[in-house]
Amino acid sequence: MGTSTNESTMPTIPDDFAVILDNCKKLDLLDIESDLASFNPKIHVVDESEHRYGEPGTLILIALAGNFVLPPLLLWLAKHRQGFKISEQKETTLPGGETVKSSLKISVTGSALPSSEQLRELSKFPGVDPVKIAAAYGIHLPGSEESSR
Amino acid sequence: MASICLAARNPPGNQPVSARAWIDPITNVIRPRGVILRRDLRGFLTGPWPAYTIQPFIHELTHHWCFHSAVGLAVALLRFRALRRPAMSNREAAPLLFDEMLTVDTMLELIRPISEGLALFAEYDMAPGASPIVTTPLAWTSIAMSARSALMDLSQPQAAQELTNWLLNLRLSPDSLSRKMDFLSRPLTALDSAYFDGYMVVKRLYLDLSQSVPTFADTDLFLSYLRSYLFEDYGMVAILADRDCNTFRRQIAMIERLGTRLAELYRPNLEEDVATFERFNNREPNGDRSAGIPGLGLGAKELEDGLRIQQSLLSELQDNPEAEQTMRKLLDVQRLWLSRRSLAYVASEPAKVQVLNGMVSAWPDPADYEFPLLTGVSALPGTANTEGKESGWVSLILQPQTGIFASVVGVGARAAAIHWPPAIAGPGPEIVALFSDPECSPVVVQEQHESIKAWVDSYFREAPEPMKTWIAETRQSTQSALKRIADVFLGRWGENREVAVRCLRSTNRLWDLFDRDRKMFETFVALGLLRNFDVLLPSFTAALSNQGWDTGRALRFAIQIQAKGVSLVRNDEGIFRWLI
Repeated sequence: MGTSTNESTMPTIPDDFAVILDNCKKLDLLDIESDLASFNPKIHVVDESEHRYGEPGTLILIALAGNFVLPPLLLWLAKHRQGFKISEQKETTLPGGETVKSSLKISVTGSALPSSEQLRELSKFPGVDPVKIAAAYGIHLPGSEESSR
Repeated sequence: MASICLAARNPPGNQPVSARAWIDPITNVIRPRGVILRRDLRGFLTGPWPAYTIQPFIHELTHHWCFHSAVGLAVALLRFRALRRPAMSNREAAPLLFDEMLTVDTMLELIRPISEGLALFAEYDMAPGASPIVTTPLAWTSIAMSARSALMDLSQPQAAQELTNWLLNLRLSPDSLSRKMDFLSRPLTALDSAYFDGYMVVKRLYLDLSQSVPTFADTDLFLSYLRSYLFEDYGMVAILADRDCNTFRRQIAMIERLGTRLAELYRPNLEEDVATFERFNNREPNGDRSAGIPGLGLGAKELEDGLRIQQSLLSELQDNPEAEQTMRKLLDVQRLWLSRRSLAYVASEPAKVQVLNGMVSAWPDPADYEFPLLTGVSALPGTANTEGKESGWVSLILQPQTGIFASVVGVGARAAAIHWPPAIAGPGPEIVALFSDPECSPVVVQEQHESIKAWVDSYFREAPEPMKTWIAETRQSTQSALKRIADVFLGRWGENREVAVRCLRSTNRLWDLFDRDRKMFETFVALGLLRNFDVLLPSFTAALSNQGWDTGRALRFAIQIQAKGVSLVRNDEGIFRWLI
């Protein structure tokens, strides 16, 4: 089982995309799955060991309704002081064989919090309020008073 | 069925660094997680080893130690026999092959949770104790955690205490605590389930048996006994290789044997048996154990039958001058596989190797590190000069039972030099021959491991009906049996067995008991590692609270969890001990 991806820089965000969360601790994934249950996120195992006696594979969380799940997911990470990096991908094959045309991969970077610039760039994603996310991190975005009015 | 190709040669040494640890029980190849020789080799050779390599190493080494046993040998010999079947090509071969394949498959599945449980117990609970017996994993832990120039003598209380403290610090590190919390939470794969069930079973056995056997206060003695009890079980050997048994009766017998053996650990004379076992094992690691180990609850007839069957399996590997050349060659190779099972291949990676006038040097390939891996190592006799730097490999290989290890440098499939660490002076000629045998080169081992694995996988994947259905049914019934066996022990974690099993089988396992309080879960795991201390003493509680571990609150939380049906704290004559 595994995800195969064809990464690229995507100038525009399509209406329909999946969110893939990786490099996240197992207990965080279990919490996210529970906290965002209404968005039906699912935990999957990728790169599952081919060895009967080995360590289990890497865990990821996938939510298909990316438009809806992205804002609360970013807010969850911010509230839990988890940094992230976002990359955009085309044609992702999900564990189980289903293919989604585009997806956002959110890699958790632990306690390395996002920069102001990174947070501002979130405005290109529908429904994501960078000011709100920054506030949840305890980060003040310069000029945010104007933009948030 | 096509026979496997043992002669193929891929570009040598190009195995990726293992992101996740694994072991193959048949060849006994191990790969601890994330060892990068170009970065770590110096630490391995001079000691202490890099801290992040130690727990994954202990885990895989414990597997290696378990499978270097009577049961491990029988499983390997049955698989070797199966690998010879395609060369036999007689009418009876197909059903016999099916029996051997399914027997090994069932055994590896059946013993998996307990194997993982033992490996996790070694990682998190094993420590030096009062017994003179020191297990192979603990001996290697002491090697890994000390400088080569100052190897520990664990018979000295000060050294034992020092190792205990080091292990405790390692286990209390954030990564180690997090890993333990992970495997105690919702299993997401079959491997994950084996980790949870196995650890909860082994830990329960330890908690129960150490009440009736005081010498089990020494966790290392407990580990040694449980490993021998299950893996030196000649009764199981007899079941595995009994030629008069059919496949399905054999499967039932294997399951019953495992369940009965575990139940019999609660026998009244266990303390006496452990004392016998301890006396017998207080000898050199390579002392003669060919007549079995006493104190393991085996009857004389059982032992005799098992030893006879083991001997018969071994005799199948003897050279037969009347056999065809292909078979004789295969037998020759398999005899070496048998010797090779004593070796643990820790890591291997590509290198540029130069042999010049009897001296060998190796550099990282690609050259992303400035310094050579090894320089000026004496070449093995007969090693020809290379034309400049040629593509080769560097490996770290050890023989756990003898405490010997070395880095081996090679070109193609052949070893060019063996570099013994300073503390290993003058290894015997047999050891040198084994380490330098071309069939023991990590390149050949890796290729053979991959070929065998591919052959086995395709056998099960491509089995025709009705065999396919039989395989699926056997695997399913093995899983059901394993769950039944584990539930017996999960039930012992509470006063009401059914309630305890229900709690511990909830979706997120132990995590569900903590109301999503991460710090409290971590506190329980940390206090479990500190179970030998009275953590409620004021001097302790202050130090622990600096880590965010509130012992008073943890005790109140334990009472809440107990009310749900699971006991995670025990009152030992006024001292509260956390159990996980």
